[in-house]
Amino acid sequence: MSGHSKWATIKHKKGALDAKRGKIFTRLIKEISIAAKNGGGDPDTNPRLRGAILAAKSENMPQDNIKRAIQRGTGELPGATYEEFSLEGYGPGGVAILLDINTDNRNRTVSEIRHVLARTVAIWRTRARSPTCSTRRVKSSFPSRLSKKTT
Amino acid sequence: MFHKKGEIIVPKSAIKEDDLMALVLDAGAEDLRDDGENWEVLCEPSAYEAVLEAVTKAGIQPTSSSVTMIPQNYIKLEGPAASTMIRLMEALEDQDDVQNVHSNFDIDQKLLEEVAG
Repeated sequence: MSGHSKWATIKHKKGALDAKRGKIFTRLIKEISIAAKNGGGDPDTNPRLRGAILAAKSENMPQDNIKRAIQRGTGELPGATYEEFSLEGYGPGGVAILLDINTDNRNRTVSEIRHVLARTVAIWRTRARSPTCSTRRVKSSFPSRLSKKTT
Repeated sequence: MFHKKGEIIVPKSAIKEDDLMALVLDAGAEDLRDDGENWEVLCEPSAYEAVLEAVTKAGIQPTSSSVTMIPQNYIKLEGPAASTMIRLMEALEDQDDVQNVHSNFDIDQKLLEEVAG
């Protein structure tokens, strides 16, 4: 029924073979830092941080890395400051796409995403000859997620 | 268009529907769906931890579990649109700054495995 869980399942199967461990770690560390920054460094009072730590542990991330990521989030350790926001667009056939972004440079990210979308749309157009795919950012569907989170 | 939900995917081989239903509903889950090879348990983000704990305590290892954005409706994709979509998903997930990608496509499992696998 749902494409979502199928995708998650396939990602999971692939992930087991995936050599991109570093990338997974980077992602988990960012999530921990942001969670700590927004809700404080105590997992007991910060459900999001609790979840992030759990996810990191299930990928066998060393305790030290987790601790450092929390401290970087709360500002005890210096490091890049990440901001968090969402982007929305439409893919082939009018499928909605929602991206959660954690970045230290918003402009770079947005231009990278735009590039990926534009390239894929170009491929899609030549293959299907249909102009139904758009890369515009949509603000209407759920404003609360789209509003710039400046925390 | 999307709702934030806890989602726990359990392989069908691990447990019977009725047993799983009783288990997760007691723990506060909202919905249990049939998704081909898997059961898909949905719950409010606040109940996620309790439900996940109930499932793992029963000795079941979920295929995957997360608090994620679940779309309200799905759009069926086939042919070139489907393979383009899969490529787009992978390209977006490869971006370093992208934490998560959510989408409401529905693609046939076989095609999905062919292109992505």
